[in-house]
Amino acid sequence: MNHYLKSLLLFIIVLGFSACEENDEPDYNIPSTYNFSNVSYSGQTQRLAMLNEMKIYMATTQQSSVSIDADRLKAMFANADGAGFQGTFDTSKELKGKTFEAVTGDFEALMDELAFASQSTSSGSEGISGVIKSTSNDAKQYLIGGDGLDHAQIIEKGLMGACLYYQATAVYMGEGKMNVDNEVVTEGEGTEMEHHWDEAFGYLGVPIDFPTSKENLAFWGNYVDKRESVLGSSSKIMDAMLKGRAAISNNDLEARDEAITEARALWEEVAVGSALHYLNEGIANFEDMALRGHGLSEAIGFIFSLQFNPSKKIDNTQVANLLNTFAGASSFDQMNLYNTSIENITTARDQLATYYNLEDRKEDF
Amino acid sequence: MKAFKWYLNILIPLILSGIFGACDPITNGGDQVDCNAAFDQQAMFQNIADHLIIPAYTDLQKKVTNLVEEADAFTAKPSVTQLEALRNAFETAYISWQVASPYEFGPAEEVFLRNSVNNFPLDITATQTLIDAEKYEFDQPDAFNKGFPALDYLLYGIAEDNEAIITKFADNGIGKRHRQFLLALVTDMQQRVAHTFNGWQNGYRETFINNTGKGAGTSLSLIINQLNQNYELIKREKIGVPSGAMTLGFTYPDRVEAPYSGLSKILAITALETSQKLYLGMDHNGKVNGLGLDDYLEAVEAQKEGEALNQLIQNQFETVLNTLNTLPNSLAETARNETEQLIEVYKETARQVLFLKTDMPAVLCVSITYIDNPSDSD
Repeated sequence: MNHYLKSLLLFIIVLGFSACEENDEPDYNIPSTYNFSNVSYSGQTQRLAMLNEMKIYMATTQQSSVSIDADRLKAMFANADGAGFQGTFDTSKELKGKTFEAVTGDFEALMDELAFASQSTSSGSEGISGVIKSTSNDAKQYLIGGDGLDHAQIIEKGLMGACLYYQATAVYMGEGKMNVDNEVVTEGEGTEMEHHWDEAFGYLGVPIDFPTSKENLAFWGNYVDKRESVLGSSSKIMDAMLKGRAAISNNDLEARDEAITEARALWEEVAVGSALHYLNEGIANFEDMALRGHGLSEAIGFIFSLQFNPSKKIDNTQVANLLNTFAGASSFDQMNLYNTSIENITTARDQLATYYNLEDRKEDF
Repeated sequence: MKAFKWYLNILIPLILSGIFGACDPITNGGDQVDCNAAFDQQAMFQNIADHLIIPAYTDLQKKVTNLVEEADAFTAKPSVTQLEALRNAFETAYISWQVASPYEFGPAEEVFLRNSVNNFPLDITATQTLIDAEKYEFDQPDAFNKGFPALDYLLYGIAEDNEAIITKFADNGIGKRHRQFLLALVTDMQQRVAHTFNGWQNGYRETFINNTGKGAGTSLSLIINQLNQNYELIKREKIGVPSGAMTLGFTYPDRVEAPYSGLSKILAITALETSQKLYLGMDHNGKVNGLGLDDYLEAVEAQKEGEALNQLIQNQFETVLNTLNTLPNSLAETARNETEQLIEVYKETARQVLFLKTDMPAVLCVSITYIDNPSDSD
């Protein structure tokens, strides 16, 4: 009896002290790879694979003889009948249902535009959809709409923002998914909170030992890697994800919240750096309409994506103004890249760099 | 075990309080209150029952009965005059509902009153499905196909102008289905309101007044929980969602309450004033200011960071109402054109949640037992 009493008191005292101990350094190990217990994000892997199949299907339009079916593309978006996927996906997993609701219609309209443009058999020019060959690089040619847009690029990059980035930074790192149980462990999935963090990680599209390994980089994973040279983004964002998962597994919610702040900011910086890169491409290749339309459409997608991070440094009006500055409008169906100018693109680039304190590096991307 | 149980009972709390007291930063601003301080709960419940709840249901019963009568008249002979009369009945009943909305317990809870009469935004497709199927049953509380939002659509939004709306109710095909749906809808609302009103008349008033204490299910707990749940609906559904404050700055002007009649602002003001008056124990006309939660907080001398919690709550109600009252337009128009102003209202309503939902229940030793905004699972 005495024994029982003693151990109970000891337990209470230990519990009490560990609850109020203040440490700058965590007293737990943060591993160097995402090799935690009970990690599962197969739903995210499936969605990245679905987006990849959409990307491949959309890229077939770069051949002028190929036209695509808008209904099939929309079915792929919704994982519905008629998607014709190569891979096998759970019926419950889809991109559309996870895309920020207010913009799903915009993407479906872009899919219609892309399919319409793909019917064209003439080569593209102002007012006429069609494939345009690069004047400086024989290997490159893209389907460009009569408005100068490469719709496939806006769809892909835009969905990276409105779906993947939104789900990771706003949904899974948001209060609704983070203020949840962190005690009951489900075999293979960990606690509810751990599982949600892992799902956020899944949307990043990097291997568990990134950046040591760069195998199978998908979507954001590619751009994290591409921005490494200027931003040092790869190890930074990986460290934030590792820190967050370790913090959750050790119930260190303060460190978890720091990791959320860091991961959101770093991910946003990758989007900004990518937008700056493609704006620079648009400036450098201004006279080459294939590269201009293609590159600036990527920039449109990345800038549009900035809206979906809940801790974003700019607001939606500023996003609209940036798009308006170089694409002539903030809604996709009103944009025109034939009418833009080097000046306008430069103004947008400089403004974006200013918002993010990247003036000194704006030409390096 | 028994031999040392007394010993544990003393020792463990002592150790725990010593340890946690030394490091726990959450101590309600360092102020200790005694929630067992003398306060006449029954007198407060009686005031709330007799001056707030029963008058609210009495008025609602009257307004909904009028609504049924006008719906009868309109469906008998659809005309612009009858449409206007029916709209007037709808507007006064909808405003009256805001005054009765916080009391979702006892008889109201039995008939799912709040969900049944005011789930919004309306799901038009689901509503149309009911109409097309001629299956006018409103037995799914969680559905968004009924109540005042459906009336708002039928009487204002179903067609372009008055003449076109009347046409929707005129013929013996679609018109008949719309007429039948309209009548079934208002009858269902009337029955649920009548059940609630009668429940309070036939015994629940006494049950409510005598249900003292602080545990879950006591009248104090019911009042505080429902004040909060209703308040959070105002904050989120009426203001937060349209403003875009919770959706990364993307606004949803169409998701305001009563989008077709454009009543969103007056409904939100009435709802907030109702919350304020419930807190104060004040009747709807502002004539009686009896015992309320404000008096309870004073009785337990609740403080927050050196200020009286009651004063903070009262000030915040005034601030919220002032910011809401100064909006230039309907909430939908404000969401479209003066988004920042609506977000400001949202922020002010959210500030009050901390006082009402965290601080007040803590000092009155009541637990919040409802779950707000259940999140979806993957």
